[in-house]
Amino acid sequence: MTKLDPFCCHSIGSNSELSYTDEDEFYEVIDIGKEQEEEEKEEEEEEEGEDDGDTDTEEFIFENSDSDSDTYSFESQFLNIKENVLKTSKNLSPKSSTSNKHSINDVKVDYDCLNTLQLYDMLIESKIRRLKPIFKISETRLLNLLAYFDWNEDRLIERYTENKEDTLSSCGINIFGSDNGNDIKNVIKLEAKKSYVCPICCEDNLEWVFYLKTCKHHACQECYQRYIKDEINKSKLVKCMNCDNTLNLNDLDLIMGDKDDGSRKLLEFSIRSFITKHSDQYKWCPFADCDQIIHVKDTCQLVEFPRYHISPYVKCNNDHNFCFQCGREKHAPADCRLANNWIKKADKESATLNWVFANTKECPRCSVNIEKNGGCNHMICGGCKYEFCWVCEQDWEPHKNSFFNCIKYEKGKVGNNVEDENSDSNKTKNGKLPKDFQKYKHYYRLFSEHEQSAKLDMKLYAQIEKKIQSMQETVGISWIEGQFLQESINNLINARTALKWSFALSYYSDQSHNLTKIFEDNQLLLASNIEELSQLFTEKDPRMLLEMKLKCLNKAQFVKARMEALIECGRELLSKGICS
Amino acid sequence: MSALPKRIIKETERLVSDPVPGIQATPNEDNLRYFQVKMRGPIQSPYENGIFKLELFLPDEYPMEPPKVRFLTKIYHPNIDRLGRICLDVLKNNWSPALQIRTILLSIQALLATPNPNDPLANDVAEEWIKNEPQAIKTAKEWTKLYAMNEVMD
Ligand SMILES: [Zn+2]
Ligand SMILES: [Zn+2]
Ligand SMILES: [Zn+2]
Ligand SMILES: [Zn+2]
Ligand SMILES: [Zn+2]
Ligand SMILES: [Zn+2]
Repeated sequence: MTKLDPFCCHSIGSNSELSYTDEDEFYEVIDIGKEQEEEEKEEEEEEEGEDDGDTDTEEFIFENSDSDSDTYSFESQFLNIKENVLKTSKNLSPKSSTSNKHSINDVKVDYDCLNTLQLYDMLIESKIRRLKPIFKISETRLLNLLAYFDWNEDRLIERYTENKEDTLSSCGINIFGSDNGNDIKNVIKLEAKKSYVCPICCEDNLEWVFYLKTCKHHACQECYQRYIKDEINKSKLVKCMNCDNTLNLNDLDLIMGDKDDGSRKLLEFSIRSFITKHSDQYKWCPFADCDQIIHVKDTCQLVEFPRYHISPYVKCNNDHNFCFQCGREKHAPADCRLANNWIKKADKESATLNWVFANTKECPRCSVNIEKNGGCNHMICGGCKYEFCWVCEQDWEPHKNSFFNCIKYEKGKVGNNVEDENSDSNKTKNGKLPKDFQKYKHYYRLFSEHEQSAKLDMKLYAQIEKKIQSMQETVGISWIEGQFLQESINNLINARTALKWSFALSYYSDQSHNLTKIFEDNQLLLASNIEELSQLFTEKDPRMLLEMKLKCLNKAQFVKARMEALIECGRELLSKGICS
Repeated sequence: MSALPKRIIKETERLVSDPVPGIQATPNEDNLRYFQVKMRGPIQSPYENGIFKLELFLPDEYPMEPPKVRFLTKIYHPNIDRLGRICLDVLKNNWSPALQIRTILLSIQALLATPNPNDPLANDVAEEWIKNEPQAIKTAKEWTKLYAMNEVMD
């Protein structure tokens, strides 16, 4: 990243002239902005009669791009933001990395996403085929056997050659005397005689009885089903209720009458044990209720990532992004090490911070309770119409231009987000505050607030989705028409997540360094655009939402580009050691 | 409360009509899933001549889940803690619905005859048992005299 050096001789507010030599690149980025601006204008023209009182941040920047300003004013601040942002964009272009032989573009990870059944097929293919000629038992049985031996094939073969019968019967397999050694059906289902009494529940007048051929033990269907349901979650094998005889997989399906509760569950158990044993190559998607598995074929690929301060992000078939290295959600711009430090610190400090996230806050002006029902942090009081920022609880007005006051940490700054240094709640045992506790608290608060906002955005989206679905039924709007919302909300949530993690970087960064300032400028720009996008989703009428399609998509596109720029800039901070 | 399952009724009937020698289990009149148990200390064990009180409760999921059993009489034993909780495999992982109240009570009686300090629940007792077995047995006998001699079997 040799191209970054020009940053160092450039200080914020000193020069409003764009010092770019490469005009093509300059115009390229301007064009993107213009395009968006124009599209937005077009839309605004369509919505005729709309009072255009609010000035878009981008428009503001570009309209002023030729003016001279020597003083450190809002304009010059914005020019610098734009300029810095442009520089980052420049770095993002592929040209800049061609000089390096070992380039960051070569660092990638190849992976598959599988579900349990696909992994099962793969295991049969790769492991079982080889073992089958030795063991002469069914494939599913072999899989159970391997799971029983903790996937240690050598130990299994060794034990088996020592003593066949013992090895098998120790796992409850009884194949001797069967035809071909194939899966024997151990259980027979019989219609119950009138006089039959189940030994487990002592009930009579039953419909079905299950007998185990090998041990002659029996019980009614209900007892067996209840028993298997419990048993299947805790062991690799399901045994007879009375002795050590094992039920075969087909037996389980016969009794359960449903593949989902029967052998599939047990297979899942085997597969879980396989993944635990091979966690370097296989990982479950960490998202709740997701059963996808990511498989990295060549773990050597993973070694390259930390060198470039990036992480091997993977995406499961349900569109969940996560880091294969540390198993967390996508944490860019932070790398795994920094993400880990940040989370550890948060765990450690949580007792001191003791934050409670309320979804209601009092209006700072009239004290009316206001509920936050979406991610958007631009709040308007229902009582006095006061507009304020949820995060910093300050007037919204300055946020329109910049989130500077909201995000930037300044020592000794007095605001709602920085409490009295001497307040008792911040003190540790010995009565002294850790050195940079206020700074940490500031950034941790931002981190947490945006985490909450992302969750609320999700919740709001679920509501919107429902509304549109019902519209689809009543008004006959095609589902495709609502699809853009999905795309936009994904961009929004990804960007919020990136912004959130960028605060971890801010905390660990050398604040005096120029690149840190550039990083912060990127942060401000992303923050304001995120709130603008988020605000679009607060529209209550789904019809209006559909009409905002173009505006929404453009904004989402822009947010995505800004997010990528911020991530890249964060990477520079890390690789230059400015953030550690 | 739901009707008592046939299985529990049958087991209770048999416990009364054909009691296990040295063990007496009486269901509570108000709650037929709750049993008062008296257990005679096994002969030639440090608990000989003692009569120990226990409580036994059959959870809703019984017999899919094991009964809950606890000593009420103080007892010095490496696998029974101060609260009377018992460390016994059949009461936990090795429970099977084919086991019964009587088999469980017999297992507990067997545990009194053969303490297993290598799989302890009461750590201090187990330590003493390993370090100085004669002393531990002596303490167990003393506790039996102190706490388990005031009861009689009906
Ligand atoms: Zn039954
Ligand atoms: Zn059996
Ligand atoms: Zn997933
Ligand atoms: Zn990671
Ligand atoms: Zn108000
Ligand atoms: Zn704010």
